[in-house]
Amino acid sequence: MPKTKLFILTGFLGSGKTTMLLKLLDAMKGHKIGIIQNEFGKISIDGDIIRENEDVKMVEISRGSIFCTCLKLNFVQTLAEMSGMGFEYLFVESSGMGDPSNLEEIMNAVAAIKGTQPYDLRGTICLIDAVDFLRDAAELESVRRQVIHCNIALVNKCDLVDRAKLDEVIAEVRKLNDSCLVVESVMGAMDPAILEQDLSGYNWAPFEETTNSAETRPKTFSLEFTESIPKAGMDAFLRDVLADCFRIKGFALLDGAWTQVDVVGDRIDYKSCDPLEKAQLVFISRTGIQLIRTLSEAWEKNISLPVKFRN
Amino acid sequence: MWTFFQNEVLGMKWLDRLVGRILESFGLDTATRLGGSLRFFCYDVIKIFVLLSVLIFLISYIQSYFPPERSKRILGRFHGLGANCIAALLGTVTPFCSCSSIPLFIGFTSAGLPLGVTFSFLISSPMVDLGSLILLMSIFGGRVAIVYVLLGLVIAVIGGSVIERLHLEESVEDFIRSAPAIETALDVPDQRERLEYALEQLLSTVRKVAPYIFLGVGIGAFIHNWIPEDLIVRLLGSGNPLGVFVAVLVGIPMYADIFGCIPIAEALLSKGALLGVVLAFMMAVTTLSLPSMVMLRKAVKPKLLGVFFGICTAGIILVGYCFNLIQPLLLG
Amino acid sequence: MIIQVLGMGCEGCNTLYENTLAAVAELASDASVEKVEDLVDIVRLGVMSAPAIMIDGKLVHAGSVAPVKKIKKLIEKAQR
Repeated sequence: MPKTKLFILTGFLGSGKTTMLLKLLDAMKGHKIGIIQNEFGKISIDGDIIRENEDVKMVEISRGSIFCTCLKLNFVQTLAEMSGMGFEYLFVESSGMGDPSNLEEIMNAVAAIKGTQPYDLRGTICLIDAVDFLRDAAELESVRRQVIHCNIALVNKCDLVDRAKLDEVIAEVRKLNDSCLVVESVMGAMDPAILEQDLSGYNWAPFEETTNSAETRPKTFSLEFTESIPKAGMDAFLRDVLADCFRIKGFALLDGAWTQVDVVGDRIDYKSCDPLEKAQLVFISRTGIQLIRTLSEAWEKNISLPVKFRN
Repeated sequence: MWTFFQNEVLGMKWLDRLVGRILESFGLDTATRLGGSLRFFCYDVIKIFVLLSVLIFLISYIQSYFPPERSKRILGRFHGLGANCIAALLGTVTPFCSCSSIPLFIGFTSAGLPLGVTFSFLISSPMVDLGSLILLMSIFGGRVAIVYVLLGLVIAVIGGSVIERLHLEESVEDFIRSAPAIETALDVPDQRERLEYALEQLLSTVRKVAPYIFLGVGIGAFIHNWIPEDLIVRLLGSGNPLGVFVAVLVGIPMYADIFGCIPIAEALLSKGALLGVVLAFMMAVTTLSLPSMVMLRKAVKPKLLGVFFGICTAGIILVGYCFNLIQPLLLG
Repeated sequence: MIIQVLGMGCEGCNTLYENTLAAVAELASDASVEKVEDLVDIVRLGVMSAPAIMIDGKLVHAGSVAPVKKIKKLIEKAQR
């Protein structure tokens, strides 16, 4: 049985990992593909977007980063298990704040379990949000580490910035990683042929300890609600709280229509989607535990319909 | 008229006589050491618990009218020395748990109240409270109690003003200065909720303070009947001019509830310790306790902490000697 | 429902936390109970008297140890 080709996807919250993955899955129809989906919150939002079929199988690991001590073992065991399932490709979509610096250690652990390395680790693809990268990289070590430890830096959302800004972003990427392959992209589009190349020459970063730990883990809160929310109210609510969040995502019934909600930085995106069982939004806090107060007050002020808080 | 009130209602001397008679009916001679200790123990424990219960209930009820948010608003309206005085007064109606004093201090500071004002509050809060005022009255008499409270408030006001003059605002930990001044407020309680709150406070405080009371009364009883008078006089009485220093030194590392200290103080006094020594001890134990210093350190840098500590200690020692001098006037 | 018990480690704060756990168990509620002991967190949440209870980001009780019965009433009130 040929080894499964393993790809790791990293990239900050909202950089477009899931969109890119969906495009790849579409382009690679017919191949047997496994996915490990990593989420911070307890509710796995992305899991609802990627639908399984006979060729695509997905496993979710939530409540933290797979590179963090909290979930590392779980990740290693899942990798080990899935190596025997005959996938041609395995994609690992890590969470937005995942720091993959310790990937080598994880691969060694998998080899130790199976007696031999069952995977062909092809490379790590780091998605970069051209709009917010400079700000996020300045603020968070994990964002910088993602760029340092990648083979391909996919600079996404190029359609939302001008050339000058784009060059600035690429220059910053080069400062962090001078050997990776830089690819410009719109809407996460990438030529799948790139994945077939030998990418090993693009990643020279040595193993180091990840910064993901129980202490650095951001606080997440989620809201569940059953009724239809007026879109204007939801919009006002999101605007009140987005400054305190790294990321907001989920699904809601807005003015009676099922909508996928996506907030990155100060940009709010609404996209209509298929109906779901329940509506929930996940908030990843920038301000720690006090986000819950902000959420509670903003909800009271703008919407004030029954809601369930979860963490 | 007042003496009757003081002795029978506050002092509950009738209880002492009653306990004495009950014990004697069991054949115990209360004139002996053991008998006397037992009588004192029973009488004092019952007395303190009864007074404690009534007091805490009343004070907590009053307290329900002064939640931190309201205190903060009231303080914001005053300036200068007046603010320090109001702060010191408000400190006497603060909750009993030491867990609150630091968040409270932080809440006031981040709301923009001057450092000196918040410190007046912080100093008076453990040292002076209305509950101990009434208890003091029952043991030492009205005059002592009132002077104690007044001098305690004076220390608080002066201490706060001095800290203000020293301009130590930089010494507050950074996270406090950058903390959002948003306050979280509870809904205004109705009468029933106020009474429920008062009852809650009563039960939880009594539970917490009970061991200290038993211990305090036990020690007091022991001192009463087993420690020779001349030893006390030599150490803590007129035989030792440094008595106040000794009391403060011993009091600092200790943390005990003020209600537990009072029976000890009472016993020592009756054995010849000077009034100032005894009161200085009580003030030192409640205000300068090591645990609260440790907690305060989280909010305030060492320099300010040291100043706070120094001012309180100096103030307490001064007050101690003051009391020693005017003792004949108060108790005579 | 997220219930946060705030307090810095004094005995009363621990008692309040235990009482809250008991109340949640007795109501068979699926609310999560979290103990917040970090001073910075407590300050940032705007709480000034500990021990205190916040439900879904709203302060419902502060300054004393509440008995299990009262906490149950607070939880039920918040559920409406």
